[in-house]
Amino acid sequence: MRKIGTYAIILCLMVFTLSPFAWLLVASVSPQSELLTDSPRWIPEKLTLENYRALFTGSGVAKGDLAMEKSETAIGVKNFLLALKNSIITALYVMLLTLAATATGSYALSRIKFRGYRFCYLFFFIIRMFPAISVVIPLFLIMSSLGLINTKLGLALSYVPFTITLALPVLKGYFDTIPTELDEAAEIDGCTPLKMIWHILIPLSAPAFLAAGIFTFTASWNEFLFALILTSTYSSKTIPIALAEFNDMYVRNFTLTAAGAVVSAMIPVIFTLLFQKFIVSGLTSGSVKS
Amino acid sequence: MGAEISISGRARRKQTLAWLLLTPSLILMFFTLVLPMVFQAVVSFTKHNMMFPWEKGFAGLSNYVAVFRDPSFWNALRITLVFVVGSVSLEIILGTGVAVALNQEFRGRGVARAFILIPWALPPVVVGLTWSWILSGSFGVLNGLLYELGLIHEYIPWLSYPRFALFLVVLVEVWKSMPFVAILMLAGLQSIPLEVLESATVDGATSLQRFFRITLPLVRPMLVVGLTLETIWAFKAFDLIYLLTKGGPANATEVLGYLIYSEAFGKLNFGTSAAMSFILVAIISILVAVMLTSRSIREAFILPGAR
Repeated sequence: MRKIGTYAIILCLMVFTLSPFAWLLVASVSPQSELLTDSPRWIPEKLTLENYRALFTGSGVAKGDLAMEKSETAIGVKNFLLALKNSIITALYVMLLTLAATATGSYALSRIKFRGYRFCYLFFFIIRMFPAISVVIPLFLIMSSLGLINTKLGLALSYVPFTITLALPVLKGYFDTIPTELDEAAEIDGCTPLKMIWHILIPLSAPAFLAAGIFTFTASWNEFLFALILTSTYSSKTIPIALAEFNDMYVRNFTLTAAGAVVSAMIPVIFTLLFQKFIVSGLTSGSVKS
Repeated sequence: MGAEISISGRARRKQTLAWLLLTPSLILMFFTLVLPMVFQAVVSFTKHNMMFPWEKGFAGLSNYVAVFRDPSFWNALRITLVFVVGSVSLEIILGTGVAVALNQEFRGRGVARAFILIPWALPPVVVGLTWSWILSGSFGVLNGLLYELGLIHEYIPWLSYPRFALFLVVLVEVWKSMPFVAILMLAGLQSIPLEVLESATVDGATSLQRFFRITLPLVRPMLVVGLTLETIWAFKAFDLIYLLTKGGPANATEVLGYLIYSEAFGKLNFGTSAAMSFILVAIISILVAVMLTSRSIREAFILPGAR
């Protein structure tokens, strides 16, 4: 009896949790002619890949729905791949900057009991609390004067403070598990700390770097607000912005936008499914014993 | 004598090294976070309205006064509170319930545990767009489903009702974030040794008693972390509201974050927007200060004052 109850709850749960995403997947393989009907079907008459083909070839959008086609800077189907590229490059910049900064920072926090280390944690904790909206406008003005608006590097720089707070606990937590005897042996052999980090600590911490890299990449990939405000040209707009513009541009063509949404959701979803274990421990600073 | 000096010399060098190693992180954070904040503070005390570009210069507290006199500020404050309290409490309660369910033995448990995180993993854009289509009054699937089931006779524009729209926005936020709480609490539940629960059963405890007296206290650290993280994320909410309702209908879902945005980019009044930003930061700072008084939080995030 109890078992049936459990299964019922789990079933309802799974339906509630997954049906919107399932609908999105179905919509993305529905023919665009579905637009013209007023009663949406959730199992389309036929399945088609025409939406994905439109995204990747830049053409094949159903007529009669191009509200903003003439817009100079909006991202349409023609530039979807460009937005994809922008997202990837920005995320890679963010990963590079974040991992480089946190590799050394985590070493310091893990290995050296220096005075004020708790205040460092406090500082990082406060940064995590920060509402991005409070910072984005002055950031826009500062970046403007530095010529970093509409650049992937500028956008990446704006993400780094937040991704550092994500990556630091992960790396530090892992460094903590590497025995300090290794440090001492290296020091006896005449290794400088930097060399030790590069040649010994980093190779040994590959899993942590992987997890931190994934958090960082995903955070950058998903980010919306900064991208909205700090970019306004094709060459820098990232996928989230492209999707939002798609929605304005191809107003009722939700099958096309759904395909775009599925493409942009793929990476975060796959990462999450594969690396679930790390997610909990990483976000709880690895400090709550599990 | 010589040995003492060299030891403290080494210790001092280590200290310097530590700060040096942290410099890249600190510099990046300074320029992209601290500096803008300071700049924002300055702007909040000046007149900076793009609609009236001739009015420049120091404005003292007039921006702040204008904000406190503005009914839409108080509206936004109220809505933000409803949003945060509503979504976080639902996330915690439902998330814990889900964790309990996922902790049971059943076939397909591994799959369920993996797939449940999908809403949380989705980019906020995707969540916003998907739900805005589902809830659409003209072609939404929800309407389609209810119509086919005979529950409604015509399509309802769900997001056009002010109070209901706020409820729906909270619902979508809960849909997205609850899985994270569930997985977090699941990790906590799994760390409870079975013997403790078994001996309680032997001693005659009912499952409710077991839950409230043994399980809950033992998962308190996880609960605290979940509560903290979810509250922070709820205060930062912007993306979902931008995509679902744009603060509407009739400002019914205009949280403080969105108001700051529309004040700056809609009304072009950067001065008052900066003042509002600062007020938001002040509110969050008070929240953080309150959080810091909790020993559980200090221990979980390794903050000053933890044992």
